[in-house]
Amino acid sequence: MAPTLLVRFTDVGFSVSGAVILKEVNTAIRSGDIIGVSGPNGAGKTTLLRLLATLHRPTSGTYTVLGMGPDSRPEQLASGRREIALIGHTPAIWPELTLRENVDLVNRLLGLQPDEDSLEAVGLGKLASLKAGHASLGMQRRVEFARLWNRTPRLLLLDEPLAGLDSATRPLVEQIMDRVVGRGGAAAMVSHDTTGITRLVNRRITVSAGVVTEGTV
Amino acid sequence: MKGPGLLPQVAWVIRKNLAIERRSGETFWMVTPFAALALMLAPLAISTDTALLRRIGPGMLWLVLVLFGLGVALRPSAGESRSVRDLAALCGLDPAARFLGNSLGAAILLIAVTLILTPVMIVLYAPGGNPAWGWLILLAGTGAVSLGLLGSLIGAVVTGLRTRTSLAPLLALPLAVPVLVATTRGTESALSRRSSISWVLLLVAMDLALAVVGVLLAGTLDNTPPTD
Repeated sequence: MAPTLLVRFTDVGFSVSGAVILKEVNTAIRSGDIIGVSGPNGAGKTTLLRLLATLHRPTSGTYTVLGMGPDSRPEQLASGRREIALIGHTPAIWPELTLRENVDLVNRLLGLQPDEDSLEAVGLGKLASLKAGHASLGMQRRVEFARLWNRTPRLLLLDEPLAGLDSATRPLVEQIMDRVVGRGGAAAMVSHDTTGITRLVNRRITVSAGVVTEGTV
Repeated sequence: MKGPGLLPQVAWVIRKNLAIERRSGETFWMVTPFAALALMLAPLAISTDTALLRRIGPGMLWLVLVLFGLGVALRPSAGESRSVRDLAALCGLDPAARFLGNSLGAAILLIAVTLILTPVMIVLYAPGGNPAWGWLILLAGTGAVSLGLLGSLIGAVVTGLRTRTSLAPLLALPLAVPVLVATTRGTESALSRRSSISWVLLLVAMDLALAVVGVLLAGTLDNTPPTD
């Protein structure tokens, strides 16, 4: 089956208060792509992921992300965004709530049934009632992956997903990426880790001083 | 992928905010005792003249509620980290649902605070009367909703700004004045067993106006990139 086009950026640029963060990005992401994004600190890697997640609106150029574009209506945007998962470098958790509540709340907002097995699957079953603010960075990361346990986004965006994760948990990330790609999705991952998980990468993008270039694996 | 509609999303935000309040206890264990303390200390600083205290009691009550109420709506746990806001956006949370949910969540907390502080004010400032409790309860509800909407609107405007802490009170000042006047005058009427209907209707009109403005601006405010 031919890969499906999921994302197309044409001359996409992004500036904040006159400062150019990314310029003239031309790229396409198709189903099956697992893209490794690399580059020095402050080069614009996180901004690129946020543009892909539609959390930033490009200040120039044209784009489509999972059918969403600059003229998408709010309801199209909401529906399309539910097909995207972003794991940023700061865990998205409510520190006052328990690990279980952190998973259930997101499921409820997505209209999914509460599930009992996701925390178990990431090794946090016995700690479900622990306050997330009292959990380690690695545990908070695992909560984020637990949210993906019973859901398969079409576009998985990972920004330093291995930070704080022990080596025993890393196969979990591989498993989730495999599942996303196996079901017709794609993944893009910023990681400085050059071993293990990055072997799954089948395309490389380098970001340097706001310029995005395609590389080879 | 279709998710829940606007009202279930509003309910989701309220439920989440109240769960956070239940765990952090910021409103009940920090804000309410200090608000009650302010009400108790004011007569000591002003006068023991009972006629004067009866006259200033409603104003003191709502001044304390406006100041502490905006504190509840703008409290640190009401603001969310960028990663959590991103997560909610990617789950399809409607910015209007976020605004309404935050406002109503804060209003529920403020109704409880008002219902605790109103009897405190009556005992300290206007004892021996027979107030119209029905009007006091209606004023508590409509006034708390105004403060919740106002706090959430200001919170949405200043989110991500470096000047957040100094800008929020400046924005709140002109908008809080009508709420303060309407609730104070309404409470004065209720303490004298007169009808507070005109003040309650004014608060309802303000609530509707603030809700409409907040819902219309929610999308724009939500998409404004932070400056820091």
